[in-house]
Amino acid sequence: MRWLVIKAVNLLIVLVAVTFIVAAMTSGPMAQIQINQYKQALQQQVKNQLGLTPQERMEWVNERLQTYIESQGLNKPWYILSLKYTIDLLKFTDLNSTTLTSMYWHQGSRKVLYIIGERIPFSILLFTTSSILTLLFALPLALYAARSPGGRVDNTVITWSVFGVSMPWWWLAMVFIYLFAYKWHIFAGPGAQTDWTNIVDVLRRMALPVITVTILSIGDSAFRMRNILLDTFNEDFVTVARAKGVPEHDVLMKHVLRAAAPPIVTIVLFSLVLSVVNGAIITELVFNWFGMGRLYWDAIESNDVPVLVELTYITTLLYLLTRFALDILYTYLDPRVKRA
Amino acid sequence: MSLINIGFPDSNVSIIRVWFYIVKLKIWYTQVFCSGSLAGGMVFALPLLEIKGLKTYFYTLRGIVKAVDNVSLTLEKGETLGIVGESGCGKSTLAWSIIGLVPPPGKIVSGSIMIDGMDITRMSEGEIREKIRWKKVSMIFQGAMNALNPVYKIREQVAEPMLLAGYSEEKAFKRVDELLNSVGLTPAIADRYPHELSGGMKQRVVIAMALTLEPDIVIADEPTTALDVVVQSQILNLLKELQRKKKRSIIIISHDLGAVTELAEKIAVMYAGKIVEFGTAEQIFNNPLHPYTQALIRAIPRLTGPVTKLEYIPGAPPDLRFPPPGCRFAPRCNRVMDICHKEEPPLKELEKGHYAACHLYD
Amino acid sequence: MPNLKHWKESFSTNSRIIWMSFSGKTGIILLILFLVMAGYVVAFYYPTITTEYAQGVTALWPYKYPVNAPPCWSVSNKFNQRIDIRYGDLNKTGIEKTLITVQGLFGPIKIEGYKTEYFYKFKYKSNAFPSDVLVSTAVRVGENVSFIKLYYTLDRPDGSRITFYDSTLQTGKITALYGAIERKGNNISVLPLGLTYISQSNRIYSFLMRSLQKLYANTSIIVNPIIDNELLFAKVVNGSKGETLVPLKGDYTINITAVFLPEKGVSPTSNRGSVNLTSFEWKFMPNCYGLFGTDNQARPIGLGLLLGVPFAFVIGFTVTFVSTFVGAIYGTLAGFWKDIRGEALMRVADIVNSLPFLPILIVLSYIFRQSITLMVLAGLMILLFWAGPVIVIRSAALQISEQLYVEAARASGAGASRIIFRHIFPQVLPYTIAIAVLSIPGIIVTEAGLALLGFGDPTAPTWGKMLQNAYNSQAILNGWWWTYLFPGLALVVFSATFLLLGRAIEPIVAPKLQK
Ligand SMILES: Nc1ncnc2c1ncn2[C@@H]1O[C@H](COP(=O)(O)OP(=O)(O)OP(=O)(O)O)[C@@H](O)[C@H]1O
Ligand code: SF4
Ligand SMILES: [Mg+2]
Repeated sequence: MRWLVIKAVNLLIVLVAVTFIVAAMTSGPMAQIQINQYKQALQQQVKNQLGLTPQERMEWVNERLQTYIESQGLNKPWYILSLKYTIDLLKFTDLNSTTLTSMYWHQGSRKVLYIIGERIPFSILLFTTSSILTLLFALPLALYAARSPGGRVDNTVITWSVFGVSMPWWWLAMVFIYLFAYKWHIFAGPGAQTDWTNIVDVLRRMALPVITVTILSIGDSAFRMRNILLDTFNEDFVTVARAKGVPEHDVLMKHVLRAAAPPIVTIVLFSLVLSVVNGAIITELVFNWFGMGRLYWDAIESNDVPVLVELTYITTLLYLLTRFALDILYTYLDPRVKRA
Repeated sequence: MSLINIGFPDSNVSIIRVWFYIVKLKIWYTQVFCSGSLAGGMVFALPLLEIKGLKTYFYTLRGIVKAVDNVSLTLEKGETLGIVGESGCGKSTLAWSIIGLVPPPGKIVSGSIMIDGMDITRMSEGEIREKIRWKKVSMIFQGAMNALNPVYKIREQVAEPMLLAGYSEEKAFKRVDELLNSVGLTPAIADRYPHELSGGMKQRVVIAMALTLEPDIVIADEPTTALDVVVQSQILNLLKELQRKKKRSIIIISHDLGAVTELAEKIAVMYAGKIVEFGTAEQIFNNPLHPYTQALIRAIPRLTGPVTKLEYIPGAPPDLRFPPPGCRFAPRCNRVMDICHKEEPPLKELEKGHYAACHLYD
Repeated sequence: MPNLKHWKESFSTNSRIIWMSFSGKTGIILLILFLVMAGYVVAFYYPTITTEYAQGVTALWPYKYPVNAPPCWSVSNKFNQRIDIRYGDLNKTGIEKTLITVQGLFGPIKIEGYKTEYFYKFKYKSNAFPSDVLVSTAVRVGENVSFIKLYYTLDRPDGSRITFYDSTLQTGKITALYGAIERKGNNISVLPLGLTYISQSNRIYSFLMRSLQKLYANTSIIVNPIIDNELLFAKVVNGSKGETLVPLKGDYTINITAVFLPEKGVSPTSNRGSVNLTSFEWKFMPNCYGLFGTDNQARPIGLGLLLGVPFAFVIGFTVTFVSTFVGAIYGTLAGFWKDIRGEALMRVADIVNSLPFLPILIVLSYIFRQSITLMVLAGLMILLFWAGPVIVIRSAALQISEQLYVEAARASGAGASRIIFRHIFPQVLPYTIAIAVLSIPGIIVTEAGLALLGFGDPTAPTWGKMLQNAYNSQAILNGWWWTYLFPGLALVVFSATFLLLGRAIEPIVAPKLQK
């Protein structure tokens, strides 16, 4: 179990460092927003203080604001501020949005965690579905390609991967929306009426995004797997297995695939997760999908810095956790990694 | 979108190891070559292994590599044959040809390989697998470090051919223990993974694995390279024992003439894809005829006798894509004559059972 | 030790091998093509046209090109007629006497006044509608004109009449009946505007609306609220799909008639006492444009594709080469120092590599959004991407530094920098180049993504910005597929070029590390 603890500590260090980077980037605007929010609240309160002249009201507000700023340490230099926000983020301290509100979870709430929280399931639904589909298609393709390098399947995989890497997902999304939603009316487009609490509705909306993302990520995943498999095919132990009289099918399934499993998990799944995290944001925007990626856009459009910051933090957290899980899976797959 | 992930893994300490997996880059030793031709066959009984006019070429992008060019050999039951030659002269390719596993882009172009009366160059892949591999011929591969699959336990790997041959699991596992014992390992290591063994232990495991189905021929391709001297001699002794007790035919491949003479009764010297000299171990060692063999012997460090300066063979072996015309050793030969550059010397019997391909003996 | 001859030799054989593979050949050909295009743009279009294009100077581009015109190969029914009526083409009657009916105190009275008339007759022959009709019309009414009424009409072949204007005008100034007034010093010119999407505040809107509504009164055609220029030249036919519009072919007459009365004692022919048409143009725009069409700001997509090339090079090359170079040096150091320093370097690189870069990049761009230029964007990307190659380079450097001659150099007391730059770095370099080339596609795609989110250099017409413009103008919904299809394709081909090149280079440089 020691190895697990070491890995977890490692994760924690990276997480804290990454959070600090996020916090440091945004500490200035965040402090300003916090001050403004408190000031607005005070200005509401001061209306109840009867019998004050406008001058006195202003002083009343400013006094309280000043103590608030000092108590919260908002006038400190940036690194102290960043530290404060790092801790806030790590502790999931309640942040309030400036404009956005939640739609389903505590409807109308300004709490950033609700706003983001209600979106997470939708992103996870969309991108785990397409990741699973990607693997289901990519693995057989890669096997076929690696068995006869230079063959037709292999060339298809290579070409496909070229497009998968050099094509922005969201661009293909635009093309697909035009073709499948507006021209041929096969799938629901981004403008379709969707009740996000209705699972049937959501599934109907999901078809096009899932198809787009899957098509593009298959190429890259299959190509990487093919490379790993090809290298494994060239390993001596594969020749030995053949010499031992193992039938070709067993060579493939028992020796090659099993031996290639650890690198496939790390390289292919890692890159799939990474590309999902990065590709999701704009793809969701183009598909108008009610997920975290779309929320980035909403936050930018409405200048909602608290949402943007917390969102970045949560995206990073999810990303790191997935990588952590894959890392653990890897240690189980590869006996060479010491688990003692 | 993934920038940092193009072509290499993401950051993680454990993954650095995996990196070596992915960019597993094959190293080709393309430096030293030899030449050879016909080595005599026995007239009487049907030999266990008879190779005639074998040509195995690699069709690479940069040209055709004639790794084995017109090689003929015979091997009798219970006999030990040594094949020596500089690195890259086609020894391993010859071995792969015998077991029908020439790696692409290599191909057996012509010639025949008869094993127990079956010509494997005419057999289908499935037939070779069922009748030849591991049942008639097994092989100890060069570089045993990589001959074991890292994700399976030793027991599973050694037992695999037996399970395929229809042994019960119980019987197979029992035999694994026996075999490990016989190569000087404790059966306890059967439950370990390859990376938990030392190089010498792995090499013994590989030898044990080669003996599982008691094949007639065991090909040992440089079984001792990359091992330290003590382990080397242990392994060689092991092979000697194998040969004496079990009466197996062994083909031992090495670039070390000294090691081979200890073990082998017959020796074939290869240069640039051809056999240049063939004879019994005494003949080769005491009366080397071919200048290349002579040079090889001079290059062996001696423990007894007068201390002479160690020699090495000047120059580099030819590029096997464009071998020189005439004798392939001519550019490096210290007794080269005019004719050597023009005519290829045929392999001739100069003593009883002693063949050499050199114009000196015309 | 690699020496010059060795390098030269390996360069020539390596380039031959790259050329031999299919991907290498395609990559090289495409790269040369793109380089030529970039050079052309820099020589002839930079910086004026590129900036204008990026900013979409709305007054200028529509005058030259149609708006939202699809590529010509995709249009089967082309508007293939050239109709461009200039001021000089108009027929002018001169100033004639006429009777004006004025609303008097006790009913209408007739006064003797003057009339001046401009007209032009043209034949509409095409089977298709123009994408737009660019119109500029401006009239100057003298200061001493006491009464003015202007009629601006179009007579159609079916006898109906469309009225653009039927009212009085302010005296003593130039009034643009249609078009955008542009003042340059004392010069006033009227630039033509399209007859599509006429805003409600426009002078002719209500007149045009009224006559069009009358014209299509008994049909299912809805005129409100967007006036489309098609309606001017259309007739309704009853087809299988219900009522549709087809062009009404035949003779059309544009007529501008001013009826006016100068003040007493002012001559109707004098400048102060008369009404003059000062500028006039009717230009029918084709309903398709070139190979690639035009966007909603009348910018030709094809030109945009060309203009985007050098910017793609700039962003791609700056980011990759700076970040890979930094990463290579960093990785080499990390591999060279086998103590706590190397460990620390790796930790830092590890953390940077753990950042999901697009979210962070979005936050960074958001912070710097006021001052984003191509170079700022490049800087931000370098900040995130430099750590990418560190791990690979480090393991390569580790291998190399364990080799005998490096150990020997170390033993003979060579300094760290000497060992790194003489022994390790030259060997890592080829591989670094492969990594750099392979990471260009990611950069290009990322830049486009940021542009789509609105973080683009306002003066750089990148393909990403074209896509953003398409997305923002709802091109998908409107069916303007060419506005996003072609920039995206350009992006794909450009990135693919480097991917192919990188893949051709990789196997050649990679084994070098192992030897
Ligand atoms: N897969 C391959 N593709 C192309 N050429 C190959 C391949 N395998 C071997 N060769 C070439 O065939 C020739 C003989 O190789 P082989 O491995 O048989 O040599 P060897 O005598 O076993 O050398 P060593 O002592 O280093 O093992 C070499 O020149 C090598 O370059
Ligand atoms: S003497 Fe001539 S034929 Fe004999 S080995 Fe030397 S070169 Fe070859
Ligand atoms: Mg060999």
